[in-house]
Amino acid sequence: MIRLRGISKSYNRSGVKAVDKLDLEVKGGEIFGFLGPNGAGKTTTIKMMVGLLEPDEGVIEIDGHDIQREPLAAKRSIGFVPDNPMLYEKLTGIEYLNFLGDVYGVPGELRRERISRCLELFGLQEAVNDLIQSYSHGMRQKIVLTGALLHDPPVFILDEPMTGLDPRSSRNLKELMQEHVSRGRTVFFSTHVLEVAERFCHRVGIIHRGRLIACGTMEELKGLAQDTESLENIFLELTEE
Amino acid sequence: MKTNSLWVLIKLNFKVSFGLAAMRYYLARRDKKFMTGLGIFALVIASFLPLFFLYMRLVDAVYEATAPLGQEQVVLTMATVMASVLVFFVGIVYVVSAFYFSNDLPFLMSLPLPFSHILGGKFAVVLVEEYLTVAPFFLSALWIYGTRSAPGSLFWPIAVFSFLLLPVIPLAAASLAVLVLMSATGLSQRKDTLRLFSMFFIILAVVVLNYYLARLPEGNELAYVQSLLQDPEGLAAYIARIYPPALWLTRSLASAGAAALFNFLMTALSSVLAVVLVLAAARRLFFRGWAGGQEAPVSRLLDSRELERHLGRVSSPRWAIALRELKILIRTPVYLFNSLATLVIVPVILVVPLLSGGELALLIEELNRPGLGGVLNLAGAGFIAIMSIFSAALSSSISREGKMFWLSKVIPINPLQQLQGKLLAGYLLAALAVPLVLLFSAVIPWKALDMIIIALLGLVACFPVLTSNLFVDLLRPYLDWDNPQKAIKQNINTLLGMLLSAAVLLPSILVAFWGLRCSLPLHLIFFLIAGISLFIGGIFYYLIARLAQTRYAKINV
Repeated sequence: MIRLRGISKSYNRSGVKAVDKLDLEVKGGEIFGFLGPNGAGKTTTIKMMVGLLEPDEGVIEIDGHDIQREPLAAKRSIGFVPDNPMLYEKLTGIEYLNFLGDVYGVPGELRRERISRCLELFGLQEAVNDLIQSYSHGMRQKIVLTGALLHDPPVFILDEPMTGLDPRSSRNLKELMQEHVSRGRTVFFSTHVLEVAERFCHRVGIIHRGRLIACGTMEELKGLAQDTESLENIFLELTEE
Repeated sequence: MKTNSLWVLIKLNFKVSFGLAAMRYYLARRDKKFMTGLGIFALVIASFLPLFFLYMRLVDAVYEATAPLGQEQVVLTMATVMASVLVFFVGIVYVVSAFYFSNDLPFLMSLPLPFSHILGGKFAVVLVEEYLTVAPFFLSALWIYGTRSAPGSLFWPIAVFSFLLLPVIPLAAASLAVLVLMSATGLSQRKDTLRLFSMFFIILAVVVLNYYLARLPEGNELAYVQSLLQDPEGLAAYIARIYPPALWLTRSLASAGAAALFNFLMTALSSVLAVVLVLAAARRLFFRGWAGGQEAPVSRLLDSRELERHLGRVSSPRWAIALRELKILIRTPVYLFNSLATLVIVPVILVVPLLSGGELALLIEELNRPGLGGVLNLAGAGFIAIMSIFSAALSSSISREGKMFWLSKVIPINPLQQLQGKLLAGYLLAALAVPLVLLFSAVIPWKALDMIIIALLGLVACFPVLTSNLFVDLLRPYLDWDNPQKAIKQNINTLLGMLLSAAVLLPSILVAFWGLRCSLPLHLIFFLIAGISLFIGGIFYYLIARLAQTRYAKINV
């Protein structure tokens, strides 16, 4: 479902690579956790995967579509939740969702059904008719999540999705992700909450200074470090300066 | 401690608003984008030079005409009044955005700082921006008067301080109006709408007031004009009726010795008083207006029928984008104001002077003169096209997305289709001029066919204006803004768009004049204008279509 081959990206002319020859494959039915210290290259990688940035080199395939050669087909396969969702402040929540329904071509009946379900799940029914400018950070996160799932994407990509969510919504989101992969779809998300990654992901990747330094199941990662008690210890050992 | 915090805030605002820190960073790195930006800024300034020289000649001509009467100082009054009125109008929009919609306000409000100092910092930034507005008007008048009238030794030092003081009072007046307005509407449910209408109302009220103040007394026109010419200060006093402090400023520059100093002191004191008033009003009024904007509305659960109504309308992607553009533009006062203000203000400026005396009857008689029909049709179509020049809707349409542009990059809609949606929204806004022109049919003998021709020709003539404006914003959108005003008011693309609009309309205007002079058949002139408009607009549309994909890919947020 997601395939990254030799992806590199450097900003400006400094020559320092934010992402350096990254190879990664995430299959259908898999929840993949993407970890790394601040500034390691997580968001840059995700931005390239969803078409927000162009890689300097390498190929990214989403659901079999090259994001650079067939951008529209690839984007149709993605539901994306950014880390800091900037939204149209002067649209109401429902107008925002309807706009996404229109651009993703979601038929009316399906649109109503999916939106109603997500609004109920995230407790947004009362706020959905208000302008987004009045939403809290968590509510914005929830409306973006609802919008990203509206077209039932084969690949669900989330950058720090738990930030700002209340405990109930956080649990609901995890259930939603599990339900998504149970239908053979893919979830890829970055997080700093190592406990979530440890308990919840089928596989985990650790990026450090733009390079993927570890990737695999928890069992496989334990084989790479000396202190294997928890993912936190493994992470700290592998990313030690 | 308190004065110090005001100074700290002024410094902070200067660094943030004028990007001083960012500029140093870019300059040190010799950033290509920054250098291109500087180049474009220089180009815009250069393209205004012909207009500036034309204005200089006008000031010079006024000087020549008034010097024999000993009233040459009127050039200073004229420039002061023009610049001050402009500062007031432009200031209203600047002040609303800076005082109430800056992104750093929630942060600043949480610090132990008095409101007066927070707004003092914002006021200082807007004041500095206004020097750009007043400079061409006032400096040219100072130069012509200073070099031609052999003024006293105090002239140049006073001139420098006068320039610095000039925008203070009108900007303070705009700030006071805004503080009162925002405070009064702060608790209203529909505050955005109310505030927008109030802003239009203030501007219209000032336009109407100016007209009535500047009117000659009916019946005694001749005697009044004679008295103006005989009194050594007659013309200056007459012009300064619109804005009385202009007379002090004129006297401080045109008089010598004690009189000059006294009038300068009056100007300086009234400017200080105006700022003190703004700071005092900020202490009392600011919080209520600002807090009103922060309050979340009372939420209401949507029942299934309402949800059905909201979600039942499925649109095509282009139409969805056009609707998104229009909704956001209409609901953001600063966007709406800069896109549609001229559509409201220009007709008022045209109509108000006609409502007094017998001028309206005379005009109707003149317009009904036989043989004028075709010219009036061209004028009607021209009005629609020219109105579209003053709308910043398309020259800022990508810029207005700001940090939200990530959505445009991730949705599976071809960039060209997205731009077509924006163009559609721009066309719908431009079409608002059509009913306005048709209203003139009350005084102009237009038939139904005339009105159809005017509407069609006007909208076709808008095509190059709209496509060229969108092209400008596509080339170099300004997305890194922290308050919506910067996306439209401080966006050089809107200025470039206006210049380009004038340039692309010029061939049609020239053809119209040439055709009328050569007595070409009217329908031929219509076809020529339509052809030229479609051709020029087509070129820009072709460029947009060619560049859409690559430009969208290169724009990073």
